This record gives sequence, C-alpha cells and structure tokens, in this order.
Amino acid sequence: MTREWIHPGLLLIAGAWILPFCKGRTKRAVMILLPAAALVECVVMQPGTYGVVRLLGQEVIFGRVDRLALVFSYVFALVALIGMVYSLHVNDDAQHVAALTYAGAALGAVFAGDFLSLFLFWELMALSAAILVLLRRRPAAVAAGFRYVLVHIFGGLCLLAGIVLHWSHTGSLRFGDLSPYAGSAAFTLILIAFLVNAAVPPLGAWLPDAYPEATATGAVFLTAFTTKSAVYALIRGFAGTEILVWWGAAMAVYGVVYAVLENDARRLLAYHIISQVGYMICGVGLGTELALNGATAHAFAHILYKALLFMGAGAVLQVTGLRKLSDMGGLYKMMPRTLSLYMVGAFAISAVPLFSGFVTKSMVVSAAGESHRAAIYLLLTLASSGTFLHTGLKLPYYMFFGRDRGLRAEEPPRNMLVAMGLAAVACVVIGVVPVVLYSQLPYRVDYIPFTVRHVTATLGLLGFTALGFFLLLKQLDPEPVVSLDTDWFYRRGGTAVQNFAQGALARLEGSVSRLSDVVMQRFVLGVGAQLRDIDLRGVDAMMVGIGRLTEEVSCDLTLAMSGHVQRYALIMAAGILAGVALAVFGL
Amino acid sequence: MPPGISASDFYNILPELVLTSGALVVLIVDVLLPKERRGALAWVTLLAIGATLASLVPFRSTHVEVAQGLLAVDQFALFFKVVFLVAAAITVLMSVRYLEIEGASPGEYYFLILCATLGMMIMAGGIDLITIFIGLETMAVSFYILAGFIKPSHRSNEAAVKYFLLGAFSLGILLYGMSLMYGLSGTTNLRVMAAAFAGQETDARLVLAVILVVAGVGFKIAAVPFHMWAPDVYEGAPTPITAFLSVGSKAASFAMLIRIFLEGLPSMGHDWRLLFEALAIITMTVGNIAALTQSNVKRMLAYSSIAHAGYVLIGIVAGTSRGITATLVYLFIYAFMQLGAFAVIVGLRRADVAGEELKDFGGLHARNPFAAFAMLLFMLSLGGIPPTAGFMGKFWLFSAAIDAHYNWLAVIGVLNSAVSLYYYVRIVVFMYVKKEALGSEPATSPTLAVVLGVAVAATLVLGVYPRLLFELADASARTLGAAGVTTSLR
Amino acid sequence: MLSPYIPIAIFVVVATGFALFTLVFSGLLHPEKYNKVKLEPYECGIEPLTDARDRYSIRYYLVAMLFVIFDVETVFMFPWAVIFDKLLLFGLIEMLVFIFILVVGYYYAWQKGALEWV
Repeated sequence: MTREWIHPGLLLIAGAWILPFCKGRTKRAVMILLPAAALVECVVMQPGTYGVVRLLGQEVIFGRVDRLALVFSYVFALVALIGMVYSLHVNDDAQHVAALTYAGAALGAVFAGDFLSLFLFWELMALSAAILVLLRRRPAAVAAGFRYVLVHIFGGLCLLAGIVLHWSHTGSLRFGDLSPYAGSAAFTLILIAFLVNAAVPPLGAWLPDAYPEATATGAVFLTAFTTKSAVYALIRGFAGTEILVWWGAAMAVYGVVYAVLENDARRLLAYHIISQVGYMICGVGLGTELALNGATAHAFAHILYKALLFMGAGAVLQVTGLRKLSDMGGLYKMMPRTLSLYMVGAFAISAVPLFSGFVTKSMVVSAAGESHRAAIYLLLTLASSGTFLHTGLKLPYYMFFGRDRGLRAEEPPRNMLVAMGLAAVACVVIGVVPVVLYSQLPYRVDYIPFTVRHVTATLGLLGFTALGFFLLLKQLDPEPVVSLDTDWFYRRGGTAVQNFAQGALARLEGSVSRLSDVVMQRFVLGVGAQLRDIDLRGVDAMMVGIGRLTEEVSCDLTLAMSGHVQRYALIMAAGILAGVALAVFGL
Repeated sequence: MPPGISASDFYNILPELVLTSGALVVLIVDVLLPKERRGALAWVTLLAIGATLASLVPFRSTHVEVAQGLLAVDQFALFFKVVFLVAAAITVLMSVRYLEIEGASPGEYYFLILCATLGMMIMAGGIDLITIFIGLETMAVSFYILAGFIKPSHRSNEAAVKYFLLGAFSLGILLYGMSLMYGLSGTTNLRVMAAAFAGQETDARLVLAVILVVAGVGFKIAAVPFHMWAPDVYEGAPTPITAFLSVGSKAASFAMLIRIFLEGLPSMGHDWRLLFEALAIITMTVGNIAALTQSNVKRMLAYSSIAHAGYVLIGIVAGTSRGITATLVYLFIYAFMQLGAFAVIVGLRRADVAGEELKDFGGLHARNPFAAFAMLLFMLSLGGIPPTAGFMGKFWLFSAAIDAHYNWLAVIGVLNSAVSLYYYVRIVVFMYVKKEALGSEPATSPTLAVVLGVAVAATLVLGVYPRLLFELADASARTLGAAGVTTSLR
Repeated sequence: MLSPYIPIAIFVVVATGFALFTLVFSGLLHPEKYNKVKLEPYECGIEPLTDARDRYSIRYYLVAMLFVIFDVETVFMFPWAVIFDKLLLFGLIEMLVFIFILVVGYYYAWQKGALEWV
C-alpha cells in the first residue's frame, strides 16, 4: 500500500456498529453520512491495486479498483444511500446494522481482487442478508430467512470447493477471467456458486421466497446487492461462456411467466428481478464488448429502478398493510406522489424512451442482434413485452387504480418519498443523458440508443403490449376475480385509445375475450401451472425428500445408542473385526 | 547417580514436577482451609497452572530425551502442553460457580483436574510405550472420577460407570496391541522400534497390533465405531468436565496417536493410513448426521465433537508436515471454540434447570446479549464460517488433504461441514428469535465472563491473524520429522 | 550344607513359639468370666451367622481400598530394599518423595474422615 486508502466497504461495516450507540438526530445523521461517505470515496477513487495482504503464502487483495469495479461500486453506494434515507423512520437498530453490513460486504466483494477476500465478503453478504430477512420477526419471515441461509451456505460451500480446487491446480488465488479453465470442476463449482447468488433457475427459488417476506425497508437493500454482485462476479470471471446466453434468455422469460401467476405485489417484482437479471446474464454469455457494457449498464439501471419499484410497493405495504394485489385498488387519489414516482420506475423497467431502462436494456438486446442470434433476440424482446405488461401496467393498475375499495391511505413518511425521488431522478437522468452512465462503462461505448428505428420499435412494442393489456384485462385479474371499471380509460387514456375504445372496440372486446380464453387460459396459464407443478413436485420434493431421509437416518443413529454398555463393547469389538477385514482385503 | 539418570533429567521434567507439587498443595490446602474460604482453592489451582506455564518457558527450543528415551522434551510436546494447561485453566474458571450450584466439594475436583492435566502432559511427551500408557492411565482415571463427581445425579454416576467400563475395555485392547508391538520389536521405545520395523511391513502380527492400537486410540478420540461412550458420558458428566474432556483428552489422545504412529510405526504407513481414512469418513458422517436430531445441547456437542475428531483425522491421514501442522492448529483452535460453547451452557445452569436443552437457549439474546453473541461466534466457528478461527482451521486441514492428493476426503469434509451448520445455526436461531424461557438466576459470574471473553477473543483473532499459530504449529510438526522420522506423502 | 536354611528354621521356631506363647500365656492369666458371646469367632464386630442379604457397612470398602493402595506402595518398596546398597542416597530421596506423595494422600483421607469407623 503506497497511498492512504480506506476500503469503502469496511467503512460501512465498521460504521454500522457505531450506529446502535447513537441516538435521535445523531443516529439519523450517521445513517445518511455513512453511505454518503462511501459514495464520495468511490467517486474520488483512482484505479489501482490497494490493500494487499500476504496470507498463507498468497496475496489477498482487498482493493482491485478498475472501471468495472468502480461502476458497480458507484451504484452500490448510491443505492445504499437511497435505502438508508428510505429507512430513516425505522426504529430497529438491528435492521440498520444488518443493511449497512450487507452493503459494505457487497462493496467488499466488488473490490476483491482474489478469491479469498471474495469468499469472505460473499459469506458476509449471505449472512447479513439472511439476518435482514429474519428481522421481520414473523414466522413466515423466520422460515424464509432460514431457508435463505441454507441455500446461500450451499452456494458458499460450492464457491469454497471451487476456490480450493482452483488453488491446487493453478497455485494462484487471483480472481480473474476463468475461461481458460472452462470445463474443469473448479470452473463449474464457482459458476454454480455465482449462479445461486444470481438467482438463476433452478437455483434461484430463494429470491421470490425471501424478498417478499422482508420488511418494507429491508427489501430495498435485498434487491440491490446479492444478485448484482453475482452479475459482477460473472462479468469478471465468466464473460463469454456460451451456456449463459441460453440460460439467461430462458431466465428472462421464466421470470415473466411466473410473474403471470403472482398476486403478491412484491413477489411479482421479485420474479421480475429474475427476469431482468436474465438479460444481464445473457449479456455476460454473449461476451462482446457491447454485451458486457450492456450487462453492466443494465445492472446499474436495474438496481436503481428496482429499488424504486420496491420502495413504492413497500410504501403501499407500510401505509395500508396490504401485500396482495387482489386486496388493493383506488389508491391513486390518496397517494399521488407515490404513484407518480412508482410510475417512473415502471417506465424505466419497461424501457420507455427517456428512462434508464431504454438506454441499457437495448444494449444487451442489440448485442444479441449484432451477434446474429435471432432466437435470443426474440426471447429477450418477448420478455420485454411481458415485463411492461406486468410491472408497467398490471401492477400499478391494480395497486393504484382498479376498483376503489374505500381504503384509507395517505402518503408515506417524507423520507420514503425523498428516497424514491432520488432514485426516480437517477432513472430519468440516465435516460435523458445516457452519456453520464456510458462514460463509466468498462469498455468504450459506440452505441447510440436514440435512433429513430430503435425508438419507434420500442414505442411499437410498448403500444401493442398496452393494447393487449387492456384487451385482456379480465384474464389478467389477480385472484379473486374482480369486475373492473373500464371508464377510467375512456376518461384518462390517450386520445387515440379514447376514440378507439368508444368505437368498434367495445364490440370487438366481447369476441376477442372469448378467443383469449383459449389462448391465455389454456396455453399460457396452463404452461405456467405445469412449470410450477414440476418445481413443486420434482425439485422441491427432492429437496424435502433428502431432508427427511437425513432426519430419519439421524433418528436411527440416535436410537442405536441403547445405553447398554455391553452393546457398546460389542460394537467396538465388531469395529475391530471390521478393521481386520479392511486390513486383510484392503491391502 | 545410578546409570541412565542424570541431574539434567530432573531439570527437563520441571513442568511436570511443578504441576505435581501444585496438585499436592491443592490437596493440602483443601484440608487446611475452613469451609467458608473454599473458594480460594480455585485461585490456588490457577496459580499452580500458571506456575507450570511459566516453567515451560525455558524449554522453548529444547529438544532432548529424558532418561534415555522415556520422555521427549521438544516443541511438539511443548505445543500440546500449552494447550492442556490453557484448557485446564479455563475449565477451572468455568467451574467456580458451577460447583457452588451443584454443591460439590471443590478440593478433590481441582486436584483431579491437575492430575488429569499431568497425565496429558506425560502423554504428549512420552516416546516410550510404557510412559504413554502411564500418562494415559493417569488422565483416564482422573476423568473417570471427575465424570461421576456430582454424586446425587444419576446421570453423572451412569456416565462415570460407563466411561470406566468401556475405558477399561479399550485400554485392555490398546495394551494388547502395545504388547504385540513390544514383542515383535524387542523394545518399548518408539524411536528404536521404528528402526527395528524398518523393513518388515507385511508381518501379519504387526498388522494386528496396528489394528488393536488404532482401536484403543480410536476409543479415546471417540472415533466411530468406538464412540459409543461419548454421548452418554458427555451428557452426564458435569459440564466443565465435559468441556475439559472433549478438549484436553482428545488433544492428548491425538498427541499419543501422532507419537505412536508417526514416530513408532512409520513403516506401516499405508496400513494405518487406510484405517484412519476409513475411520475419518465414517466418523465425520455419523457424528454430523446423528447430531441433527438431538435436543440436548450437551449431547449434540458430543456428536459434533465426534465429527470434529473426524476432521482432525483427515490431517493425520494426509501425513505430510502440512497435514500435521493443520492437525495441531485445529486442535488449538478447537480448544477455544469448544470450551467457549460449553462455558455458555455452564452459564445457563440454574438451581432448578439443568440448562442443557435446546429450549433453554430460547431468547438468550434478550437475557444476556454477550453470551448469545459469544455462542453465535462459537457456533459459526465450529461450522467453519469465515472470519472465525474454525474456518481457518478447516481450510488448512482440507487444503493439506488436497495437497496430499486425498481430494475425496476433503470433499466429504466440506459436505459434512455444510450438514453440521444446520444444527449449529439452529441454536443461533433459538437464541435470537425464540421467546424467552423462564427460570431462576443463571450461573453467570465474573469468572465465566472472563472465560467467554478469552474464548471469543481467541476465536476472532485466530480467524483473522492465524500466522503466529501456524508458524508455531509448523515448527512443532517439524520437530517430529527431525527425530529421524519421515512424514512424507503416501 | 544345610547352613543357608538356618535363618528359615529360626524363623519357623520364632513364629510357632510366638503363637504358642500368646495362647498359653493368655490362657494362664485370663479372668474366668464365661460369656457365650466370647466363644463365637471374631468377625470384625458383626454377627457371624446372619441372613445372607444383610447390608454391609461401606467403611469396609473404604478401608479395603486404602489398604490396597498402601499395600501396592509396600510392593514398590521391595525392589528398593533389594538394591538399596546400589542406589544409595539417590534411591533414598526418590523413595522418600514417593512415600511423601502417598502420605499427602493419606493425610487427606484421614482429615476427610475416611478412616472414621463410626
């Protein structure tokens, strides 16, 4: 170490422990100052290698700072700041400490230059995130948190096994591009570990399980760090791995399909995380400069708009106590600011022009197109449509509009709105002036998002999706089915839709809805239900079966301890005979 | 002076002499002290242990044999002696309040602890079969009595009787093996024996001797299928004794194991390596799986202790100097984690509640956050999560195994670590999430706080900065090799 | 030719003489007070003919234990007696240390009341 360098992650982790000792105003000030300081540190940091420690004959590098690490660190620090502002009103110190530790560990993972420190921060992330889930202190949350721990410990052990194998084969612990070792056991194990954290199906069931169970404020942190640090790790180590292209595209569609069946608002958003991360993984797999830039940029934008969406859903949860879409509706009158900020996030995720998703998602999709992969291109576009359908249209419609149930609600506390506002501003800024993000990306960017072709293609996609939404409104109802008031569209919608709806469409609607009965009900929903069945009966049952088997074996072993000393002595004698047999036949 | 003994021999066994005198002083002081001042006995004991530790200092770099081959005073023995003495000191600190609640008389208790420690020290230093046996017997008999120390408790009596019966049985087996070794080599000194056996690997009688000695040693380290005494004895014995047993007795038995097999029988390497490999795999697996459904925490820690013996055996199977270093490091680290965990259980003991069931841990976070945090740390360390010392130890063990091309052993070890996390984290969940269990005043005391503090500090520091420990262990392992014994790959 | 056996002969004579002497002498000197109980064989104070299921005092066990320990101590002193002249002062000090350790144990047992008969 030649210069003074404080690891921003360690700053957050250490600072987190000061928090319980502050009171009142000081505490709030510290809550904001810590991530702000980390953000400032990340921004002024120069590329280089810092914090090298020699351990066990290897170099452990805590601060490998290059463009890729820096861009991720900016967004991590920024969302940590936004999240802390969002949770200023929460009185639970443990949550703040866990959240800051979590953020700090993510920063640590991003700057880790070797596998040992990566592993350290990986495990710390898993632990603090699990604690954050547990801190909702309800039985469902405790169970979900426990499952989170177990899944991530599994992933951590895969990682450790891969690291040790890698070390024994190459003698080095540096964390870099692993493609020269493709196909080896170490490569596969580390890949599996990263995929677990990235919530790639079939290893990703923990995400929609745990995220909706966390507190309103905790979930904001959860969405940001685990999956995106996994994406970072994949970009760093597995760029260009072919299998990731298909897997990522499948994942993008998978997330959307599952979201079709969802009624819980935050669970729907959680499935969307899976979908969006699929884009990023697809980009990593494609491996071209544009694709990697796209994956990075999309991660950046995704963290911000997903946080915004979760903040919105969390605000509704906070204020009304509701989480199921079938229970909500008519909140636009009482929570207009929340709604508008939420819509910014919804537009961003749907890649509406002038919002962040537009300039980032398209990089990945274009990279697929440039590599002449038509199937991937189509799958990703299909997923985009589905995304807009659910997060851009269905969710806000059912949450804020829809049937007015006379719910009593008000705007959430001011800090939550401020936090949402910060995130919304970021989404818009990136969308309007993309060069702010592009200049931070690891590779040189030649891409121009605002081409006529691109804008019109996107608007067309969005328009037809919206059309489909309004046509198929009844089929998209969250259970229990509710009859909707379509007047709103006649009054509030765009002029074209207004004219359309008043005319022939009203008559067409009836016949088309009968047609969609066949298409949607039997085909899409049926496929979705089948997939869920397989998941439940096949994958889950296998896990449960293994667990039960282990428990049975354990009980049997316990019963073998009868308490009779003679039996013990007999078993010992049998052991000696077994040893003799082993010696005789084993040599 | 008669031939074979010199004055320097007495100087070299100074630590043992100091400890013996200390033990006798404790006994005498117990008689002379009036009943109200009995608490001072613990401090006398600690003084004795401290004096012994101090007397170890001049022998930092000695490498001699006492009385022409009865005991060895070298770094390997020194390392283990430090472990034993520190463990004994911590046990004494743990026992102060525990004995008050149980109402047991402290005089014999501390005396027996010192005797057990003395036996362990002789086991660590012995390079002659007879000496090792004497040390083993001293330690074992002391523990038989200590296990049954709480006379009104049926479980304690049962534990003592079971331990005694099975211990005598296995001691007989061990002695049979040792006598075969003596018969076939003509000497009881391990180093002379190694030279005598240098060429004869395929003698069937020697293989039998190896198997019997493995069985006898396997009993002491509680390896499956010789582990059957452990859960009952650990559950029934007084908790500080259980702690000392699981740490000191195990470490001493491993020292004995390393001495006998690496110094005395290196030529039979592929025989006993195979046996230990099988033993390690079965031990880890059975220990971890059986622990999953235990509700009594002491019993669960007994099974976990059995599993840990399996992990340590991996290091011995690897057999390289790196493997032995890993073994020594892990035993050192293990001492602190295990003693700390048992200290927390001691803290839960109250006049009406035994404090060892899982449900007694409920809500510990609310009652005593420091103890809960300490237990969290120990559980994570036992499970092998960074940045605790347990992770460092396991990492070093497994990498030593891979280094010696025993990849599968390492994989099984890692899988077992994963399985073990379930029951370790279960305690953590109980502490932090469940509701409070009601009861009378717990047995926390300043001495217990000191114990917890030391154990927590050791677990954290060694997890982050283990270099000093590694170097010490490495030097100790190398003195083994320097005795003319090869500790090479298979 | 038979000279090595003379000490043994003396030994036999002394032992027999001692036994005969005590019997005869006490028989000549004892007061004549007849009691049926005095003719019963002596069994450390307990009744010689009782139900087989009677309880025995635990103190017998304690005394037997202590006896065994000190008996083994005596056994260890026999070899010392044989080569006493070769070990000289060193042997003496060693044995004194050994005996001292056992005396500490004896003292402890005494003070703790293990030797109390009642």
